[in-house]
Amino acid sequence: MRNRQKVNDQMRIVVASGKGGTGKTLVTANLAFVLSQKMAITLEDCDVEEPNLHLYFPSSGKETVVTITVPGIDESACTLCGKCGEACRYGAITALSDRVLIFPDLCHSCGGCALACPALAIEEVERPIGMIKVSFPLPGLKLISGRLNEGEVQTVAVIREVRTRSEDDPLVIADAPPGTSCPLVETLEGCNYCLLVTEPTPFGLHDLALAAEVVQVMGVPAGIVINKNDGNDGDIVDFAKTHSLPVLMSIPLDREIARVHNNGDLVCLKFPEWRERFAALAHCLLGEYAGGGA
Amino acid sequence: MKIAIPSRGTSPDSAPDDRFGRAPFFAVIDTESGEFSTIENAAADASGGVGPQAVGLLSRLNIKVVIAGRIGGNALVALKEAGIEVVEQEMNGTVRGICESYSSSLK
Repeated sequence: MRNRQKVNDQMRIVVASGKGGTGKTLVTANLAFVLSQKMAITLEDCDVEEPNLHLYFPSSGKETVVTITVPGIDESACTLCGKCGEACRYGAITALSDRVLIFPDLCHSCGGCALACPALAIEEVERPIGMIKVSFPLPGLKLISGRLNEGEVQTVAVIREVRTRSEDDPLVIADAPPGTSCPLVETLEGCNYCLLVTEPTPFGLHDLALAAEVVQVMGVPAGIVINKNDGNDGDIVDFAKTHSLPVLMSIPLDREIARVHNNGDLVCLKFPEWRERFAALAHCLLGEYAGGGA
Repeated sequence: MKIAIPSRGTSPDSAPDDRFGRAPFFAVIDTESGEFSTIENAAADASGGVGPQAVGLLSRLNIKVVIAGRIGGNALVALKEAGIEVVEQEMNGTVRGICESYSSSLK
């Protein structure tokens, strides 16, 4: 399960950013739309702390609950020896003088406490932490949205569940969560290409550099999309050059684009020239794949 | 009654540690017998959740009162569940001094 090397012949493209609010969803939604006009594609919303792709592709669908396992104590068997607490590096379980105290929201479901318990007093209890929804909003489009319940920390567990629902699909576009930690890594694992969406601000550049380092360490080929480009993109372009990352698209800082997108509409449906540009981006990413080559 | 004070060292004259879960030691004093001992806080350097682990340790030693400077949210929950009284105060001087002021405040 953990070993997520390439799944079959799946083509997986991840749209990531490091910084939040750069326009991952704008790029993902429009890219997915133009692709869905030509072939069957699967869209994953791996930004499970704040999923929003469904706003662009509203549809009813099948929902399933994501659960994780947390320890439960068989008090008749527990000897209060404290071994469970010593084994837990997250402090999620601790033996008091008269009973065992569990902090479910600190638990990482590793099962270490159950292995450490000499009295076999720990059982696994299911706990819901989120939801997965699978829908088919357009003929060529399957949308898998993950949602982590408020206050929960196990983002990766929900992303993993999203990914199990696309395992047999040939072409996947994934909207990654912002940031550069475990949730991004879980989304990126085994992917063919990563689109890094950034904006020409010092914050955009800073977080782009962090995200670029992650994809480099993971050995994922990547390219850059500059969004909200007001023309001051020199630093981003320089960064792209020194890191041999191609700039595949530039989207201007444009009130009309922002208005359409913020209305929950697809820019490529409102503006034919953007449909062409996203189609060109898709062709660039999928080249041979889209041409039906290998 | 046994009380515990987060401590930087193993002597009664050690400085108290302002933190609870990440203190390297706990000074344990029996207010009736005056007996002093220290225990090592094995979880002090763990990545997280150190507060509840420390509470487990103190609870199993039958500690009734904890005097500390800063106590985290999970540790407070665990202390309450364990029925351990919490005294939050400025941590100055030595653990012996803190213990003596606490004992005299009970009289």
